[in-house]
Amino acid sequence: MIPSGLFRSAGFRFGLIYAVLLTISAATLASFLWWFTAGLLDRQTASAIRADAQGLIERFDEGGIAGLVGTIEDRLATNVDDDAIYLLVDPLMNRIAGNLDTWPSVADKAGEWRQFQVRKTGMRSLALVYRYELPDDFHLLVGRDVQVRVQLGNLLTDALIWAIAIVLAMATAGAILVRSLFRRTVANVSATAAAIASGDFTQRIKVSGRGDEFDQLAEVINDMLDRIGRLMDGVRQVSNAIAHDLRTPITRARARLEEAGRTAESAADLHAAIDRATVDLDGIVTVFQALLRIAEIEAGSRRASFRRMDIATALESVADLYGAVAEEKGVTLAVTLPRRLEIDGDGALIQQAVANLVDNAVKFSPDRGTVRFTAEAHGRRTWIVVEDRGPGIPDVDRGRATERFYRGDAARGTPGSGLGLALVQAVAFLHGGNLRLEDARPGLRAVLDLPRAEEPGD
Amino acid sequence: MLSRWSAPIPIALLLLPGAFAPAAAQVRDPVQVRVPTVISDTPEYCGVLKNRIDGLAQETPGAMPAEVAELSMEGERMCEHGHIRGGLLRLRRAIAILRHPGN
Repeated sequence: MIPSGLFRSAGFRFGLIYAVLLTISAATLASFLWWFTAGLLDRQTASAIRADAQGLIERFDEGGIAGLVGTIEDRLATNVDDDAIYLLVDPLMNRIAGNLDTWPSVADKAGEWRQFQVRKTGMRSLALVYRYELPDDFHLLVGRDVQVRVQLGNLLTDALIWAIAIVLAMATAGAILVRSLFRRTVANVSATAAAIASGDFTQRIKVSGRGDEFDQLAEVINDMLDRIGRLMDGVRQVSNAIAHDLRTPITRARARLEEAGRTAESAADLHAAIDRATVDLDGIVTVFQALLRIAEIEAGSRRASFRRMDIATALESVADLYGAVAEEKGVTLAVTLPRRLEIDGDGALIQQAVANLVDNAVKFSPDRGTVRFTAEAHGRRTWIVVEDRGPGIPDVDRGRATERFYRGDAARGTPGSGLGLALVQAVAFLHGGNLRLEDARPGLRAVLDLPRAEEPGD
Repeated sequence: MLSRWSAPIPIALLLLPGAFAPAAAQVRDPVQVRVPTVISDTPEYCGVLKNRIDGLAQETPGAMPAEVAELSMEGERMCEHGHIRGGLLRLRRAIAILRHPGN
């Protein structure tokens, strides 16, 4: 009796299916082999007896009993294989011809196969016969000595049965193996999932190194866990950054209001304090708006507004706007833009992203420095490059520069929220592109790499 | 011990029911009936075949083929020495050659 709980085990079901399929296959193969070996011997014997009997009946039709007797004697005389069995009897069951001394009692019905023992050269043998009824109540038995064929058939049948038994045993062993393999694999995944559920996010599924489907599954799950881990780190980092970066302006606003409430001598003083606090709070609102905007871009909802557009004009607007700002700072903005630059995307977002890059470059550029702002097509890509001669970003920090609220050491003394490059990267990803930050030696080269608009027929 | 027809074969017959008529041949208990005896393997039957060879040789024009004479003589001698089956085999081959000289 198999416990019902076993059937709820997928490993048991897989093992059982394996065993059943293997056994059915083996049994089918064994039946096929039997049909073409032992079965063939049987069919050949039956066919030979029928053909023999047909010839005898034809002779009876031609020559009557005398002709049939002569034919039986002829056939016995030339039966080199010594396996023929004939018996012709009269209505009183007296032998007329043939090589059996008496009518076998089992052959009591015409038109049916009978198998019985005979004595031959003092030994027992096996005969297979078919009974025919002749006119005038004469009876004819035609058959063969099938002792050797039956033995051979039994031998083959026994061998096939043993083969099935062995396959059954192997199928059972294989099923146990399949089940244990399945359980081991699932147990690996299950243990990892349980460890992660209990808070140990460092656990990963063991990869056997065989490169099979289980390994592929383990690698996919591990990649997924890595990504989840990175996202969780990012969320944690952003939370920390929000708390850290917003605490200062909020504390400052609170302190100003508190001080004003305590020390203000006139309504004008109070208004001035409220105005300063409002500026601080506006800065906080701006940060939250930027965060929400990045989240909106990353969610991909802006993709619905994509359309084919020439962004050359938008880039020129950015150049004009920041040309004035750069001039005020004594920085030269060297602009090289093409006449047309078609992109499938959101022009406002791209313009904002490029503005962030140029703003950063002007902000960090030294006095009388030069910021190069170029855009050009590279094959199926569009590169918008903004390069300054400022302090740049150290190699070790460059990978983190696009994280939310990241601010390099050089940026500590400058205004900003640390969200500019995060927004640029989000815009790049939204458009199927990327943002590369390179060392301009000195300075920083930011490359906004976007796909070009596809030509009709591409 | 009569037959294995009714024992292990059903495994195959389950897949091929009724496909082979002799496999279903009815087998009776031999204890209840007298076992018939094959009488074409006796020394007397050697004599029957020898007489048949002689009769066929007389009907055949010309001398008896050497192969037939040799088989006939050898068969007769084996029957006399109690090797009935071997003797019958040779006598039957001799008859077959006389009946179908071309084969």
